[in-house]
Amino acid sequence: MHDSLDFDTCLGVMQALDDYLSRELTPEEARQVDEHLELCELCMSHFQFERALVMHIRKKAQEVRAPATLRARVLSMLDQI
Amino acid sequence: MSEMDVSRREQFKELAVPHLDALYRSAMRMTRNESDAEDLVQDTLLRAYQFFHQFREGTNFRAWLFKIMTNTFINQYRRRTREPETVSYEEGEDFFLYNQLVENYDSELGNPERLVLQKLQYEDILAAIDRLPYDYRMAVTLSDVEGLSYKEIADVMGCPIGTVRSRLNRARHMLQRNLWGYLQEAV
Repeated sequence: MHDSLDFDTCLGVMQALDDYLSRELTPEEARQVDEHLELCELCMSHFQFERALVMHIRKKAQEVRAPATLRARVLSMLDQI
Repeated sequence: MSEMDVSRREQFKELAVPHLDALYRSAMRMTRNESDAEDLVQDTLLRAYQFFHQFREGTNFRAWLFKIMTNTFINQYRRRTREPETVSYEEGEDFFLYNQLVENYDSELGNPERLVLQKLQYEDILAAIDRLPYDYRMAVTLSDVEGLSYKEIADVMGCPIGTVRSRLNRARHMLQRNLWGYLQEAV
């Protein structure tokens, strides 16, 4: 939550970037940021990029799966304890 | 084994097994080594089972597992894992990657994210994360890969929420610098 940020200005909105990406803004703050983005093409283009990057990182990194051998090992351990 | 023990074990399995992929992914980022990551996941689940009676129903089981794994890693594995040598402690800046792409590839870009989505592959992204110091790569992994909240990450890593926020900010900056290196090779 940000008491001090002014979401009417580009600077205020830019400073909320990390919390916006992490979904840590209050609904009211997120609404104010979205409102600014609708009106400000430059901020919108920056935020769209950052959001696309974080989503791409998540999607690619989540392709890592536990190997079948580990799954078998864990299940057999849990059956034996 | 009593019926109660069996049902407790089944309950634990039902809760824990769906998180195996997430645990392994984070164990890989912690240890950066497949065999240690597998051992760490197994040790974590064994320990979680031993302390299962301490888990409070209604709280987040996944965050609880991550916390046990973090503590297990720090106590048993961290001393023998080597931290990355090529660490950049340079202060980052907001929108570093965006600015580099616009400055260097402006004419080819419809929008700057197109290049990122096309060129940044799975291996580049994992390697870029693995080059961050431990606290930073775990902040990025728990937040941006696993989607934990600041509060959950603070609990997992045993630090204040403000520290999570500043680590994540710095981690994203450093990560963008690393990704820029891989993008230049890929384009």
